[in-house]
Amino acid sequence: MKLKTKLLGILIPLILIPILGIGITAYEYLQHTALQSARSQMSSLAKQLDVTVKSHIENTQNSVGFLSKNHLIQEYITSNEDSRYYLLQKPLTRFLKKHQATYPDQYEIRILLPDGYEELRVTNQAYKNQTDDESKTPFFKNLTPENINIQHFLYMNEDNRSSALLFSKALVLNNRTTDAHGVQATLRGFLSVTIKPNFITKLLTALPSDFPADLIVTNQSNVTYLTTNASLPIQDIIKQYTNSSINGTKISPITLNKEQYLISSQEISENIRIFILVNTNALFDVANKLSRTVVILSILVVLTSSLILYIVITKTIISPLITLNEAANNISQGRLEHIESSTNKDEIGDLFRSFAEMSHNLKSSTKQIEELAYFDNLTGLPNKVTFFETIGRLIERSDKNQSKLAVIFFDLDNFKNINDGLGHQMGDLLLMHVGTRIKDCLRDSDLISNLHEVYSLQGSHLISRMGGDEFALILSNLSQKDEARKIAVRILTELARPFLLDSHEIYIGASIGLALYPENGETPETLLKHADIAMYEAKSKGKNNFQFFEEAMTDILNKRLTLEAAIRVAIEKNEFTLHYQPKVSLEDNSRIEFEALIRWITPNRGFVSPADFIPIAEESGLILQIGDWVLNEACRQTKQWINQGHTNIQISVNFSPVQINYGNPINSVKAALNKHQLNPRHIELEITESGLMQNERVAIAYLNSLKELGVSIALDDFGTGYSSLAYLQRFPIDTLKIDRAFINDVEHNTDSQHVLDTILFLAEKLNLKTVAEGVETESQLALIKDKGCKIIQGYYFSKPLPANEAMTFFMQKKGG
Amino acid sequence: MPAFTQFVRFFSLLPLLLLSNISVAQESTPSPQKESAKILTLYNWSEYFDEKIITSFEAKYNVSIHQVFYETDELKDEYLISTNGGEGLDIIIGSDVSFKTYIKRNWLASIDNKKIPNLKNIDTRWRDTSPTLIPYSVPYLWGTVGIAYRKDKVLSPVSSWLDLFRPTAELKNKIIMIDDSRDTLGLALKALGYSTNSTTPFELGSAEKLLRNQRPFVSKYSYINLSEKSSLVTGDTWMTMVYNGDGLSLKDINPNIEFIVPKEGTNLWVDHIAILEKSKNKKLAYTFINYINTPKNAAQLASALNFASPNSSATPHLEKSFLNNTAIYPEITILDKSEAFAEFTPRKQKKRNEVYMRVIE
Repeated sequence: MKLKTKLLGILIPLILIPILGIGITAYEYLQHTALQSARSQMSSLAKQLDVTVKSHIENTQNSVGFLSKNHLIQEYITSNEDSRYYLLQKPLTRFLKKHQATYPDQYEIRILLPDGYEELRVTNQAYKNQTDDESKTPFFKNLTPENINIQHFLYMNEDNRSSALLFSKALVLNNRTTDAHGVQATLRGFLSVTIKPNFITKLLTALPSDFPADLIVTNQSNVTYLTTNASLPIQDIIKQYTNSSINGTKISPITLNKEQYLISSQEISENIRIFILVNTNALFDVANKLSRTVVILSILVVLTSSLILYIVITKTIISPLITLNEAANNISQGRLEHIESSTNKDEIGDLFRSFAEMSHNLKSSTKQIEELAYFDNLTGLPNKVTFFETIGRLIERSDKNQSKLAVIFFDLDNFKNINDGLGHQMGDLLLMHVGTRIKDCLRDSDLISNLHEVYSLQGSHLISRMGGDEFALILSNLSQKDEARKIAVRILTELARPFLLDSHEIYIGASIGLALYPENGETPETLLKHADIAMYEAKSKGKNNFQFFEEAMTDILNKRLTLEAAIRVAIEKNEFTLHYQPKVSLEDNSRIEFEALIRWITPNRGFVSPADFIPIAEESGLILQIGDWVLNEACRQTKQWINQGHTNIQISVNFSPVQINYGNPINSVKAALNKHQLNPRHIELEITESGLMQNERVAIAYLNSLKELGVSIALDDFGTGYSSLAYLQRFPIDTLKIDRAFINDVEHNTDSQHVLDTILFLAEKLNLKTVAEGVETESQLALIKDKGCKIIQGYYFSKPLPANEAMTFFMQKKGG
Repeated sequence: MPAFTQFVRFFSLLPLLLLSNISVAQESTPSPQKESAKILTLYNWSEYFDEKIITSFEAKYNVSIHQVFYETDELKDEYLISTNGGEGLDIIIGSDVSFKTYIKRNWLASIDNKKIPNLKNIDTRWRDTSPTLIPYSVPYLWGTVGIAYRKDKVLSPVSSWLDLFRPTAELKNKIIMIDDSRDTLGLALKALGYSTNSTTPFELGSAEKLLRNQRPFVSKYSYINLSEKSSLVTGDTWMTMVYNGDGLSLKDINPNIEFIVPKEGTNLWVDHIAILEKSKNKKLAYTFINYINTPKNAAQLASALNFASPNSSATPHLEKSFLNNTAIYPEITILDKSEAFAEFTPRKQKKRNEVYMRVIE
């Protein structure tokens, strides 16, 4: 509605202003023209008046002249009464009547005696003669016997009470029958002819009706005899006229009764003056009429154009806008309906098309947004949101059809190593491949894999990426637990196969936890939590396996969490101590070597085995703090021993793979060495084989850096796990520590002896030191010694001892 | 008269008046033999003389008589004015009233009684009615004014002037009135019971009103044609005011015409014959006047024109039927109610003129 008003508000003035402009211009032009035309009409009227009146005067004067010479009239006026009345009156009357018939405007023809007696009157008007004796009347007093010319003047005819124009001639004659020759002619009487001066005013009727002219006819003494408009203030006009300098036929403006007039005046003859007055206000009638017409026209135009514009605007703009507005409302409320595209080729049509396109785009981008919201960008799998959205509904459905439902939760073993070592892009690529492989583990038709299927809950299984390397599966419509197990096995099998990514062959594994509805929980959160716990259980069971959730797992988890908390306290309260197990060199008696081993004795539970708390410290990341502490303590003790004079000394410290993968091993080692001003050659880092193999390149890089610091590197527990001889060549290691398993077997297992032989042969060839761990008996020592291993560690010589006792071992041995 | 329609421009008034209103009786060029013969010019109404008398006079005195006719008294006056009292005319016949004016204007010659021996035949009572005329004129004929009408057309009886002045509806445009204020205005006054010679404004006003109301019935103000072509004879006119002798003449032409003298009385008129002052044949004129007053000629004139003669010597020569005709010699009861024209002061005459002119113009 506001747009309509605005458009009308703009368009109506656009239409109206030209009309008003033309109207005003035309009004002024008409006023000007009317004034000009009035002046020219006045001039022409004045000329016309002059000609007409003069012609009337001349004609009547001619008549009077001829009549005065007429035989009968002369006879009559010179005869005595007898002759006049018995003899001449009738013929003369008839004669004058005939004359009057020819000149009807000479309505009164009279013969008067010098004393004013009206001798004869011929008139064609019906009125009564007031008196025969005109001697006292003003008109007779005007007659001058001395003037033998024809006089004329205006007077008031008392007989018919109207203005009259009288022509008169004094008849000065001899009596032809009685007067002797030469007798002075005497005044016999007057011949007078009266005409009505109306012919003057009648001229106005010939003028156009819209020319509002008025005439005033006066005599020389300004006595008014005739006017076309009795309401005019005649005396005022004459006064103004005589007082002002208006003269001649000049047209001048004058104000009368607060109205504007044009006035001109002319003397037609010595006794007749005519004023012409034109009411200019009345002249402007045409202009005023026009202005009224313009106003009416404007109103009509405004009304009709408003109506037309209203209809046009409504039809071509407002209605489409309302449709668009409704469409926009629908869109804002999420109803993306198809918008009928307008066929109009105007801007509104364009807007419509743009809007339809926008709606279409919005529809598809909304779909994308929804997919983003519900699906993982990377793998295209449903995300965590979809998981929680769907699981509740699947649970409801399972309730209805009495089927089982399982939640599978897992992450990828060693994913962090790959991500850090090969870069995030490679990690992402791996996740995409993992997603594909998981999908391959399930029947396509079972999967809820797109938004439509999410909404309609079409399918029974859902795979979702929960974030990072974590995946969760919902398996519904299960008839028994074993179906879930089969799927778990399938997943494990699939993920165990190597991934070929960008020419890298990558091995990962997965630890899978399963939770069943309703046995392992009734809410999605509980089910997921329990699957998670089961997954931890699987991890703690050595990875690459799966576990069904059991209530006991909760206890284990709780224990672990308790232990983790205790470790934090232990770090704070410095509850850890280092024990040192001597490593005896068979070649050099002066050589002092220890392996630093952590010992934790808590106030509450007493001694806690490193086998119990180190894995938890590694999983929780606390191993970094513990590792730093161990390194520092070992350096401090070593420095102390060096300061006591034991310079041929080397201490080996266990370095967790977590420290290499997640910590900053270079800085940590450098800081510890610097802190205690210790020569790096006194420190050896023991690293397990498995920790290095997770990310070979990263491991090599770190090891090289550490080597550059000057510390020695030992490969711990060599011979178990994936032990690869190729590593020995690639890794910059100084020492091989042969796993105690070989030492335990060596006396009774020839295979072990052969492996041992090979290791020692290889080490010798590669110029690596070899350390035999777990040597407990003399026979073991003898065998190993025989095979050429130079450094022995084990209970045969000593168990791990507190620092002072450990040094005492070497002093007694030296002394012994 | 149609001649007036030619009256267009006033400066040509006089010649036209002369040419068109005067008709000359003998229009043939006079023969060389008669050139030596004296010519006596007679100015008269038409149909108002007897051809036999003229013929006998011409033969007896070896003269030629020219007759000049006038159609109305007014035209007669105008002609006299224009001819300065009748130059070229010798004898005039006209109403006693008009002669009184002429005498004042010295247009009539005084009469030497000795030169007209037959004057003794004139009944003195006709001369005595107008004493001012005795030295100048001789009574010619006398008569009354009456109504001539078509008794086959006018079905209601006609006996009063009011039958003429206040006519029945069917007479519309069927009346002709004499164009003379003495007859028409005078008898209107008489019809209303006033004197024909009244000058009182009220009576004149009443008469004017009566005449005005009569106007729609009047086809024209003129004297009725007396020939066989007369509109009364043909039936175009049903009623007219007429002098008694003329009424009888018309009755002779068409028996459907009746003439009566109304019961209210009428005008008594006397026409005179006189010699114009300007006449150059005054002697012959005396002879002529004397000639027409011989007993036989006087009787001949009266009987020919159906008017009563003032010449008492004529009576023995007139037939009884003529003498007993009341239309010619009215009964005493009518005569008692009738009036002769009176003479008014000029200004009273003027007033009567004005009343009359107002009506008929």
